[in-house]
Amino acid sequence: MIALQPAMIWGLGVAALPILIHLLNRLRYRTVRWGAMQFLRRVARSASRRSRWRHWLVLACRTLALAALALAMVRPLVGGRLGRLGRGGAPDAVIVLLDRSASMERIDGRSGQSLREQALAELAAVPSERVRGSRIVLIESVFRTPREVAALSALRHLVWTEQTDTAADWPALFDAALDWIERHRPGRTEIWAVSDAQTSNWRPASLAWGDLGARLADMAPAPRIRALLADSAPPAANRSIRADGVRRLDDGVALGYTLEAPEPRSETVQAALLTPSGRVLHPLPTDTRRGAVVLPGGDTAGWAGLQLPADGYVGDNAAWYVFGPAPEGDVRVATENETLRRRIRHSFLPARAADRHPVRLWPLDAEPPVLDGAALVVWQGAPPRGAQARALDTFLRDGGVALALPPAEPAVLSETADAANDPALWAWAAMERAPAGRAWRVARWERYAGPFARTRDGDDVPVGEAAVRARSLFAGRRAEAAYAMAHFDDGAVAVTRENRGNGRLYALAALPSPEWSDLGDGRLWVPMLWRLREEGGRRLGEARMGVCGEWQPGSPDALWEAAHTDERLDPRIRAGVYRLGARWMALNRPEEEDDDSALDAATLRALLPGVRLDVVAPVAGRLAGPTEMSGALFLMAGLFLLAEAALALERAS
Amino acid sequence: MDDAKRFDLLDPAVLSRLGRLTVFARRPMMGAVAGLHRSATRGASVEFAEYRKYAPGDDTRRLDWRVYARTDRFYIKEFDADTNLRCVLMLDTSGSMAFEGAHGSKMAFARKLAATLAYLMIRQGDAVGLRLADADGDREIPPRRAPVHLRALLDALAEARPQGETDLPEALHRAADRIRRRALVIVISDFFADPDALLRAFRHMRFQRHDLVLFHVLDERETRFEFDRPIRFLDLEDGAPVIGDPALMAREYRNEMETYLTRLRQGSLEFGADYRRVAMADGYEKALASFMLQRQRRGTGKGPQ
Repeated sequence: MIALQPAMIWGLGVAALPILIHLLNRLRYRTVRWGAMQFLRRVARSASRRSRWRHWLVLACRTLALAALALAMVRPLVGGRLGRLGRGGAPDAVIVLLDRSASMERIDGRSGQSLREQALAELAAVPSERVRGSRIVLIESVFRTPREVAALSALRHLVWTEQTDTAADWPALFDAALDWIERHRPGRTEIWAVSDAQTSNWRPASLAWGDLGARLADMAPAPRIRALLADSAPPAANRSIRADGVRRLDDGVALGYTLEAPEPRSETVQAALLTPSGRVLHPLPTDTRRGAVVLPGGDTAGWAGLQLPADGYVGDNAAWYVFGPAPEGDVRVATENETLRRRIRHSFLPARAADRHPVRLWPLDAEPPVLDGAALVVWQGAPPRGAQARALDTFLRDGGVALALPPAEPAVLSETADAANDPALWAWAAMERAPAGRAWRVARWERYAGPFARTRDGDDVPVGEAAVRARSLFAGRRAEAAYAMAHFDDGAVAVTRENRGNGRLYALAALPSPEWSDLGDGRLWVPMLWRLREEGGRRLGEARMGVCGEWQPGSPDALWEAAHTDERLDPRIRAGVYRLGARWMALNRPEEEDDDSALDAATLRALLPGVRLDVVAPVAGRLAGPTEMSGALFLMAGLFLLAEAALALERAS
Repeated sequence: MDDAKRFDLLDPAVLSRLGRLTVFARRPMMGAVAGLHRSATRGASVEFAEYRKYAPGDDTRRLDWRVYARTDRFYIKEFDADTNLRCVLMLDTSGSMAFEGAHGSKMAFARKLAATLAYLMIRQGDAVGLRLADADGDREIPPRRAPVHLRALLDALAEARPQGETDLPEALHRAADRIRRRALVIVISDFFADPDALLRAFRHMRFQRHDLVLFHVLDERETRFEFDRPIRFLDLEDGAPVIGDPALMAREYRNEMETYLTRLRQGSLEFGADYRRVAMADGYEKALASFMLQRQRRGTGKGPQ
């Protein structure tokens, strides 16, 4: 609560008047000599029992009426969320951590504004008394650079608070805030976290929270954290489309997509297909989630976009593609299994003996190799750690593709106790064998994209024929977020795909050796490896697809221009198709931004135990700005007086 | 005691106005001499009572010859006897009678009421006695009809002081036992006692064939209970205080009072007592006039028609 006339708070003392009068009255009894005491004694006993509550009610009504009147004179401002945000005096510094992730562009049906715009409007409506004399620092989720601003109301007009198609990394945001506090030591500090609490952005499983909690505990005075949460529920009847890769066909290019639409999925969506030659409407069926739009023609390079009609969340209505010739990159194999290594080498045998063989070894007992020319890494065995893991992670984030295969030993190689210091890049569950005489089979798999997509002729890859006698499932925290591309007949996941930066990590739950499975069948094994190599090779080509916010232009001087619009867009924060000379880049919003799950207040507080974290939860229908409560308080005073009068009249009658 | 103080209890104007009325008993009385009231025995007044068969030894002068001529049987024609009555004025002198209302104390009111009644009844030839029911026991002046007896009655009334706790029902029981011949018993009190005990005492009076009259003296402050601020009520009998906010107690007090009054009135009717609620604001003259007129109309018919 904020008071416009704080000096009038002393007027609250008036509320004590009825109590004082009551006490004085008790001292001013008149004495009457009375005869009819036999009634009086009986009545006094019962009256004191039954009427005492009414007496106190009258006294309470009088006191509350005066208190409400006095408070009305104080002219308090409350606005639910802002009332809570505005509690307390002005601190020395206010650090606003602003979530600019794509999900903050969801439109609030009540205000007609995006969640980000609404949050900025609410911040602008915080009375200046609340931050008078405070240093106001903005740290937004894209660049995470602290910037001091003159006033909260100025935030709306800054380029650093504009819309983006990126994801947010909340542990990193808090880290930047604590860095600023440690560097500037501003004194009493409040951190206002403005977010939709999207789980993927807050990353509750991140180990960084422990470190942040320890740093906060060491700070004196400890900053106070207030989380101003927006309602992250998706708008009703929201449709979203996501780019799902590009595949070359004989007579064109297939643009894979994933379309999410509300039930019933029976209508056709008139999407706009954008190409260099213009914009045409293209119907997309909604009865299947995944599909592909074929661009006819033999163009070797180009770009395209699919846009859905505007709805409550326009941020998830576009998918962007670029395609072009991809050089055949190298394949790095990290395994001690000689048979597997030979099998992979045979899969990529060059046409002529004189030609260079693309398969190279990844030496496990030496420094990680330079992966400049690599398109695919096949990693079989224990998941990489340390420098090996960092090298592979960098490769993936740069657009590379890796295939993880389980270790041959039937040991549990899940995340270990020292995972906090040396986390493995992934984890495997223990190997399990099928009952004697039986085998698992792949029952369902992704037919539109990925290693087992249909052939150009539309034929299925015979994955379902392969028997799997032993398997080791992809496990660990990351497995939960990964996309299942194929399932066994018992529902377990056979192939997973996890997006990491611009690249992808595929995990196959069985080895291609006869003891494990028939996945070594050339009809499966060879096309799978070739497709993964082709996908990874795009990072080496002139046309690449990446994730907005994760891909960054190499040089700050490089002027990437948007190809799909005449607007001048910043490729660091906005999705779309960009061009720099002969190089093309299609940037799409992060896949995790489509995840609707949000953290609740209890989980948010649990992230930083022992820290003063005040969660200001979203309130439906609440106005952005604070409301002066004087009118309501006058009304309350009137109601209390009416109640008092009713009680007093009843007593008198 | 000087005459002035004694005769303060009597208002000549009131006596003059009431002097034209007569106090009648509702029941036959057993007086010693002839008087205005119906006797319990047969006598020679002009009021026909009944016929009864002649019995040897009856006075033949009282034979009704006309009946003999018609029926050929001897019948004696009987007439009511007229006698004087014995009236006992019983005055409650408990502490509660000291209550000061807007028109003086209840005790002063009761004294005047009793003195006036005593005067009127002695003047009409009836014997009047007095019992003062106080905390120390009863003070009794036996009924006499001599005009000089009035002086003793007035002295006793003038000296009566309200004090202490009086067990009025017990005093009534004692009086019922002590008054041997049927009499007109007039009780002047505020009757602040257990109604059940009071009603038992009334029944005892009826059993002794007394004509019981109850003058219930109440001040309107006691019935209305209207106060505007917290009050410390001091018990007039034992001095114990009760502190309370009348606003919170008024409704229930009035209900209690109403219940009590209703019960007392109905109980009185049940046991044949002549219950008269007297509001001090109306004055004792009005109460007495109402009482006497009503008695006269319902009485023997000797009063003005």
